Amino acid sequence: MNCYLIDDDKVFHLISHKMLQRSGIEVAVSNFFDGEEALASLKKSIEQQEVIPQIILLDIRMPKMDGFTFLDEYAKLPEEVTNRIKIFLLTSSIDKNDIERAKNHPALKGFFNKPLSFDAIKTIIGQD
Amino acid sequence: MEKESHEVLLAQIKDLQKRVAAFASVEQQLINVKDRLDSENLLYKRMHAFNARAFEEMTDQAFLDLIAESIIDVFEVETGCVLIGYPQHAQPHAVAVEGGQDSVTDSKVLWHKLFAFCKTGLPGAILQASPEQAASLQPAADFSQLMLVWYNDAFTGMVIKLLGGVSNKHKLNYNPFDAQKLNAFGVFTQHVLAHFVNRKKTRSIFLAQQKLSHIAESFLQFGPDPLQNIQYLVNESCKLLGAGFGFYHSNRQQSFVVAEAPCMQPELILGLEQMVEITRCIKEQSEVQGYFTGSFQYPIGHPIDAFTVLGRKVQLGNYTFGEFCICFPGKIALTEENIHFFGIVAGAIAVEKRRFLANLAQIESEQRYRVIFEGTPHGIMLLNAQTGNIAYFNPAISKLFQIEVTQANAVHIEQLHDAFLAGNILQQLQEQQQTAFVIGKEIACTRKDGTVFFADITAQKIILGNQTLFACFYVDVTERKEAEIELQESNNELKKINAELDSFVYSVSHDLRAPLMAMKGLMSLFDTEVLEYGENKEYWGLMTESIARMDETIREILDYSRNTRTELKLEPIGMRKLIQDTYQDVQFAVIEPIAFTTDIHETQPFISDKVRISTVVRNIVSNAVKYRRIGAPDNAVHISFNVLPNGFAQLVVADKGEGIAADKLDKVFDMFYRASTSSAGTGLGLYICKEIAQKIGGTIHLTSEKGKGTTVTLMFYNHINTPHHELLLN
Repeated sequence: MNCYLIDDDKVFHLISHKMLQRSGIEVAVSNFFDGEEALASLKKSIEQQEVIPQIILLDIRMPKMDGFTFLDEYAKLPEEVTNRIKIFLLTSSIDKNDIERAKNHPALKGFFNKPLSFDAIKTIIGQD
Repeated sequence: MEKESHEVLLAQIKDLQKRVAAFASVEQQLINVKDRLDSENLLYKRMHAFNARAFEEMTDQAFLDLIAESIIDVFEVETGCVLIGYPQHAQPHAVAVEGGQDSVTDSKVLWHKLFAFCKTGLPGAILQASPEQAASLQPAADFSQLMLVWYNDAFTGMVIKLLGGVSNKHKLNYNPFDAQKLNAFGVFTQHVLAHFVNRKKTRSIFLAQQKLSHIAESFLQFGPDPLQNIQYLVNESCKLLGAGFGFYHSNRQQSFVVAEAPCMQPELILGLEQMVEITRCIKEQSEVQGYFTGSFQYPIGHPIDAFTVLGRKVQLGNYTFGEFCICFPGKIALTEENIHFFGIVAGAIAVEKRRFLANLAQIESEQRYRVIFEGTPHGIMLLNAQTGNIAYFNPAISKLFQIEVTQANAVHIEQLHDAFLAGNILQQLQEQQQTAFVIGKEIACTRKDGTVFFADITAQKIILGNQTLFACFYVDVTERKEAEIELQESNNELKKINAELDSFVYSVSHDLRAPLMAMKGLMSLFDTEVLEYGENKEYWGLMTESIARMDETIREILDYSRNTRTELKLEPIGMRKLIQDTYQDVQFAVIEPIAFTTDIHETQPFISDKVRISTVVRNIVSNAVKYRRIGAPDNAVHISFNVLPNGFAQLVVADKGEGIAADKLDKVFDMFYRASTSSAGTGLGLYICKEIAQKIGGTIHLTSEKGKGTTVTLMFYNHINTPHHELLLN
């Protein structure tokens, strides 16, 4: 299983890696530190017909391109690609406006508060 | 044949003689009838002649003399005397003498003697003087016939006596005194007495009419000034009623209008004290009769001892304007007629007084309106909607538009607004059905120098004479508009600052929370072997708890900030799900069982601010869970929710937790106050709930008993009736 982890905090990269490892799921994680970087990679993969991730875990507040801008750009990608990807927000935001916005975003499959928990991982996999 | 014919002829002659005799008798009867008719005709003619003169204007004495003369004429005596009077009076009212004597004095003496002679006679008797009597009546001894007739009028009690005589020398020229003459006397005297009585009545009516017409003429002579008219009425009433002094006292002005010369009799002029005294008497004593009369004594040494007052209140309806009075010299009895006329004049004064007060009120109100009209900072003008000409404008208009007041007639609406606006205004006025309406807000107005200001304009239709005009009211709103713009700008600035602050708080909360969550995540990565070593597990627990408390604090600060800084966002809220989700969230970390029950009735939609409602619910429910009795087996939370028909929704969260001590209850809603140390808290939770309740329209109420539990009752305003567009706006 391929997974994009988009977060500017490398500690969360570490935590998420460990949590995914400990959950016993075989997963290849690609790390990105802002939305721009991830979007470029995703576009490149589509162009070069490389492997695209099944799951994206996305933070909201990041430098260069934040989570919601990423989602807007993501929505412009071809549907046959986006249909195969599931995006979850993984954020430390507790702003209810963010939560409402996330719930109403059509591209999003879910919303989780940091840090990533086993329950959240179960839900993410269960979605598969 | 001849003899027979002779006898026949004789018989015929006799017959003819009989017929002649019969004719003669008939003729005589006819003559008698004719005489009687002539005599009656004559009587009527005389009555007619009398009537003709009787309606002339003359004094009572002249009238009585006329009666007496007429009786003598009717009775056809050579010389006669008539007495008219009352039997109980010593002197007759009228004596008329005709014929015979050279001097009136002589004749009067004579006739008195004659009356004395006739005293013994009966009414209607025709007396024949004896030679001795005749001798004693020299020079009337020559009378062949004397007659004394009289008539007692039962109605008036008057007596008319006639003593008539015919001399021997002329007795052939006069009809004898007979029954026919008596009869004529009776008819005629009755007639003239009736006249006499009626005359008194008609005369008083005539006089009354004269006075009335005089008053009426006085009204015609009234001028425009009511006070002058009152003066005139006071003067006229004195003149009309023969009073020597009069005055009108005004209650309102506390002043006197005193009769002017030449009506006033100088010796009757009253001083102020006396007038005040009389005024008081009128006020106190005119209730019963409607007027007041009384005699007043002058001080000793005054030319007149006393005077008589006639006075009355000057009233209209129930309102008394003042008192009016006239004074007569001496102690006199006032006739009903005079009292009556006095009342009429008082009425006229009341009308004039009323007119005076009305004028005064009009002048006052005109002055008032003028002050407003000229003093107001708002422009007022009278506009002809057909021509666009401005008939009149106030100083404010002239100041606003910088036009001269003297230009009034030349000013046209197009000088005040550009042609398009002016046309629009005129069209509005022409088409407007209402009498008062708004022409427009913040309408551009052009000053004489071409600069522009803004005004709210309203109009009112008014009809002056046969012309329909519009009063247009200009309120200069330039300053207001500028202030509004300024306000709008500062408001925008504030909004911007607010948004920045909000964003700042959000950023800070996020940036604080991110490393916290990293710590939390790292805590979960500790190996269990490591935790079993030494006191590591205890430290681990304390660290986790510290992280949780800091997280809670950040959440609450964010909630508080959000509540104060963000606008209400109204939408329907599904409370059943919200409550369930919230409960699931907050009880997650709790190990011991808590009995959770709900009683939720959503009979109609509940519309409010979802984020805020959810913050409140989370805080309250979280408290209910947090402050359970640790370790107790029977903890319970019951949540009920009802959308009430009174426009509110009620949320009740009841727990069987540790409760709050009575002495701390009144502080639980204070900022940063913490009533319990048993769990991590910032002291912001209930304070935020109270703030939110205020913000969204609602109340929060808390009851608690230490060791038994706490019940929080919240009432939220249900925005179900808030119009849809406002919901969208919010």
